[in-house]
Amino acid sequence: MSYPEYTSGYWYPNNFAEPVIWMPVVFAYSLIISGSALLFIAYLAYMLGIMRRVMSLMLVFGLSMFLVILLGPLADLRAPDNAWKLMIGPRVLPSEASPGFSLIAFQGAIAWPLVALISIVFTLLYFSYPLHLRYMETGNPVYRILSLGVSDERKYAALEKPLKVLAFIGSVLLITWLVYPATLFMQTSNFVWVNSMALPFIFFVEEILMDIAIIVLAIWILKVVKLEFNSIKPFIAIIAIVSAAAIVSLLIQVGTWYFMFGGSPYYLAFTHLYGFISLALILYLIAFASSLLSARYISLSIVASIAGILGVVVSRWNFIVKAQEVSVTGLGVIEAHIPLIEYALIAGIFAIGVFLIIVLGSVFPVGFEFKRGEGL
Amino acid sequence: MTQAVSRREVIKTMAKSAVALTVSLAAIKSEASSAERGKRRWAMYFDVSKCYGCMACVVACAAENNVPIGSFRTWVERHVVGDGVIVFVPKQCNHCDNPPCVRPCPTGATFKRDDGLVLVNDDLCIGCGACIEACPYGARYANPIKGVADKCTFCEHRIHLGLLPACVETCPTGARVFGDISDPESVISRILAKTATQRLKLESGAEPMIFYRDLPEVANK
Repeated sequence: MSYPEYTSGYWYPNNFAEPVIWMPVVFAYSLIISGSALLFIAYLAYMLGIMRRVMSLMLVFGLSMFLVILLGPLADLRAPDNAWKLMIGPRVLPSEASPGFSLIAFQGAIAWPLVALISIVFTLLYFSYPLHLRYMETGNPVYRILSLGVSDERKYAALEKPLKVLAFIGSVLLITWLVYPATLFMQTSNFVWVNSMALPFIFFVEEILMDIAIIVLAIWILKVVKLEFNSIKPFIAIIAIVSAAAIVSLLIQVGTWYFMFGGSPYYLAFTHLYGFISLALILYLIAFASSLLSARYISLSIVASIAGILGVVVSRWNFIVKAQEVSVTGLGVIEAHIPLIEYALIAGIFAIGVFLIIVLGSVFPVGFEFKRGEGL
Repeated sequence: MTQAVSRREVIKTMAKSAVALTVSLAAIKSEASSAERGKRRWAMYFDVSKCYGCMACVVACAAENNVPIGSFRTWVERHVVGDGVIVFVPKQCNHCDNPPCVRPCPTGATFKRDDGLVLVNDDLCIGCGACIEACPYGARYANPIKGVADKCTFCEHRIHLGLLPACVETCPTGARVFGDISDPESVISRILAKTATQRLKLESGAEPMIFYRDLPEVANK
């Protein structure tokens, strides 16, 4: 008779046999959620009447990414053939047999379809008149159908109020997506997640950083707005603020771990994450510094965006994959083997998102700006 | 005045009555069995001082429930306590009164039955892994054959027939005791009434329904 010898620490055998339950596709999922933050910023900007020049870009990018969000968890399901049961019978109300509230059910079966519907309607209405103009130019009946009968500027201007209502409802629903899946992680027994009080805030600022960085890069690549500092000034300012906030929140989290567990054997669990946290901090510092320097050297905004995106990728991998390499007991760490297929799935999901961006970007006139009384 | 009733109508009425009677009886029976079940509260008691790590329970469980290789519905931990004494601690799903695994389940596949058993409905489980991540005891695993979350059921299919769970029946030292704690005359109730017991990770708020005697602190993590 023999007993299992664990490499280090105290593991439950099921946990040891398969430490990473939520595979890297969930990491990809958490990055794709950035589409929800893009929509959130677009809705806020619409209600406030700002950032109109990049509104169309944010809508196309945000909607494309939001529509593929659920492919991440779908790819991670062990019984994907049962997935439809979540959509027709989500468990959102507690009962005696099933107490509590399932965030997965709410986000997947309630919040996602609602936001997707609102965003599709908002995007169609927002692009309605420009699509009519495209129809006039090209004679393509598809544009006419998509313009929803908005054939003049007066009708288009009348849509502003309904669009603001949609933007308000959409932005309220999207708040839940901004902190997801950090909120879900807090519902688990993963030692790192349940002891990371700053996680929802870290995820929130990282979403914003990721989105704004994507938009700045897209502006450079697609040349949507004139490349002057003033055009992208608000975005650079946001990158500076959120990268600083990400640095502060990560440092607070590390400090909290030290304060709570420093000197105990449990502290080793958190040191497992410190390598990637250091790397993320360096990248956020680069993003912060280069966004400040962008005032003088505008091309540094590219460096700020790339460093910001890389920082989020490193931080997310750390908090999602590496955190699962820690034993549920908090007294063991393992280097998990990630199957190669997982990386292929990540690439595939992103590829579908990019494909949608290309499709929607070719259908909708990205880059137009509407000013009342001035036409397009 | 007489009313003519055809044979066809008589047969139709009788058939309807038979169906109605069957449905009513089935409903009454199901309600009765549910009510009977609801009166019970299954629990288990482990006497750590009696366990000598033979693993018979682990093998019996695997054989009874077709547990895949590498996964465990129950396991026995070997711990060395301060004075060099080796102790064996059996562990498994605690069928908690406030089960943390039920809360995140998006489809209701994981549920708590009225007799306290925490079970998984394979037909509803989508295999998202949320319950596995939520269990503080590492008692759940993703069944690679069925593609769903899996765990100890207290051998629900056996206790339904009045038998003991396979692990309890196999234990050669009587370290495992299973029974209904809502019945003050049951063996487990009498043991719990006169024995100081411990439960795992009470700080999690899960209210586990597995009671230990002589549980070493080193195993309660």
